[in-house]
Amino acid sequence: MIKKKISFKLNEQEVEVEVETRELLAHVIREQLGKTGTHIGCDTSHCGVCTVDLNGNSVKSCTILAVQADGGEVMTVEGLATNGELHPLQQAFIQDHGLQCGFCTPGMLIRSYRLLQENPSPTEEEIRVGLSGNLCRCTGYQNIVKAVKTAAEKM
Amino acid sequence: MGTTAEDIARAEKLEGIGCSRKRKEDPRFVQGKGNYVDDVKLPGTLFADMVRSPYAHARIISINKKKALALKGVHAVYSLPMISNL
Ligand code: FES
Ligand code: FES
Repeated sequence: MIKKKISFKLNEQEVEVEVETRELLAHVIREQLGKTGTHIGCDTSHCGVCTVDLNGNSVKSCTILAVQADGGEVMTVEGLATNGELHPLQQAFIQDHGLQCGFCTPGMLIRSYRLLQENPSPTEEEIRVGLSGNLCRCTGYQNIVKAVKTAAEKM
Repeated sequence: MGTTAEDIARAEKLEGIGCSRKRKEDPRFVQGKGNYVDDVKLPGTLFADMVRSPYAHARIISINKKKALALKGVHAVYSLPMISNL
């Protein structure tokens, strides 16, 4: 078992962990760093619930190795709110009922966050395409798209 | 149920059927504080792994568990005969 010490920024805080080189980023974030907001739904890069932001890109953290995050910047759902104030996306998801069971929500939020950085006022079509890598088993897509739209208008 | 802005405003005022409700659990869920089963950590938790046949169309004649049971950290290997009385 080969271990490696890595460090990266997690939600703006420097973290250092020793990981097995085969370990996935999702597992390290959840198990070693205790941030369980990032969920694992499929472990096969289909569902997108594990989406995190790595160096300005949305990545499925079940599909990249933790060592690939070495020296990088990672943001998870826990990093969206600032000083207890919810991010406009979080507020919009609540307001527009963009969640039911909430399991897909962290992935939806983190992906939408990057989507709005890339395209601050997306059309409905662009939101749907932008979120096409994220599945919601509660199938609440209509309100998820609506919430992203609302947030875009408020940002 | 009406859907004009007036209807919605009226329903909301009445706080009855048809008005939208703020859900209590949402602030937790949007901040990653959901605490789903996979987030729960209990001491001594074991993990289960399903082993499937490597053949797409075949008959299971026997299952050899010896090697698996010899591995460090493996507590049990279950196959149908052991649980068929459940
Ligand atoms: S758990 Fe990563 S895509 Fe489903
Ligand atoms: S809200 Fe339940 S999976 Fe999307």
